[in-house]
Amino acid sequence: MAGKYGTRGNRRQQIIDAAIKAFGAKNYDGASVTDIANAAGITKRAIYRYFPTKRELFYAVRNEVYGAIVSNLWSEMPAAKDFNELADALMRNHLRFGLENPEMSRIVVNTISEAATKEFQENIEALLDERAEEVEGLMQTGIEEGTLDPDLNPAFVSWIIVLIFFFLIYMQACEEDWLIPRGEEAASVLMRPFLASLAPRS
Amino acid sequence: MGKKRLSAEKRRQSILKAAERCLARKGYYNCTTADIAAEADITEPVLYQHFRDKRDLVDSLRNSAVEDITNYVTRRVVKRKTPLEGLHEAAEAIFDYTVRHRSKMRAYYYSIPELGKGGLRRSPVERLHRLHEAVSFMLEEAQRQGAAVKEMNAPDFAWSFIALLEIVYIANALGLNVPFKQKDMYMDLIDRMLKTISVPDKVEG
Repeated sequence: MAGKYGTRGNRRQQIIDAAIKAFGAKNYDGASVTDIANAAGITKRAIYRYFPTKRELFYAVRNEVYGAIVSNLWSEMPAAKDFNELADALMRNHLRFGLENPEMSRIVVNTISEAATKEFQENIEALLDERAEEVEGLMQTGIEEGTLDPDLNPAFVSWIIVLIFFFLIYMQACEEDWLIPRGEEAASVLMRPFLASLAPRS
Repeated sequence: MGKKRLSAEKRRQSILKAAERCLARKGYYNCTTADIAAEADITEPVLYQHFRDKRDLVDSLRNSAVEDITNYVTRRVVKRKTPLEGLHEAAEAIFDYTVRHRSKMRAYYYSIPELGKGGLRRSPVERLHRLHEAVSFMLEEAQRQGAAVKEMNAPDFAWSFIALLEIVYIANALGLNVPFKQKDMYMDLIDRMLKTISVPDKVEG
């Protein structure tokens, strides 16, 4: 039992894990600190020792969720170098993770509702920027290898792909009849026409 | 300084405008009815004469935003002769409208994350479904007219196309400037996608 003998780091993590479940199930507004304390098996006061306000707890949860989504992106990549295969694999990894962790997807949708605030810009934009840069790197290779149209602007298109990551999460939160039954294959079906459109013009 | 008495409808509109600004600036959760009342220069009780609660207010805001953009896009699309031209026009219209009404569309998207029991609340899901129906219909119409290739699975392609439409709202909600300064590049991506399903023009011998 972790309980009161848990180390400081463990306790903090335990609170965040409980908060992910609570916010995922009931949203930021609906989940109270009491709910989270009950789920974590600790007192409200113990939570406030780590997070002075509910909002700060939410930010910690958000950072954790974005971090988890990002570190999963490159988890199972094919050995292939072809841009289409790599982009497809990224989307599939992304969607699979979302389907396995629906509470995290809901938290992301929750965070979009304040994404233009300064706080979000300061903490999340760099993370999105890095993803766009990674995709841009893949695109450069694709252009060099002739699978992508050299007329494309890789910096622009890579941002579009990062935005499609968000769209997939959004669609999943809609529990779309089309998306859910297909599982991760939905990511491929969604990406295929888009990727095909990036081929060199014949 | 006597406050002007507005008619009920005007007051309602001014509260909606205030909510739009407040939501766009502070995000959904941080923006309280007290903030909105202050922004509209009224007291909270007056706000509650017009709206049951924040959710009711935000629902009205979202519904009016959806209605406005739908009307705008439809007006532009019907001017085009073929379904594929119509889809190009729809994308451009959504883009133009969002550029012109960034805080309105931001407020719209910000109000979506209020989740229902299973997933999102009904109205954003219904909007997405209506959009999918319309896009699929236009694609199928293009196939019937021989302008789009038969092998295309219209409902699947429609979701892919919609992803490109929806990211405009998402980019705006995220406070990004990326697609908004590069309309040409964005429309190029739209045209590229439509081209992959177009039947090439016959070359007259």
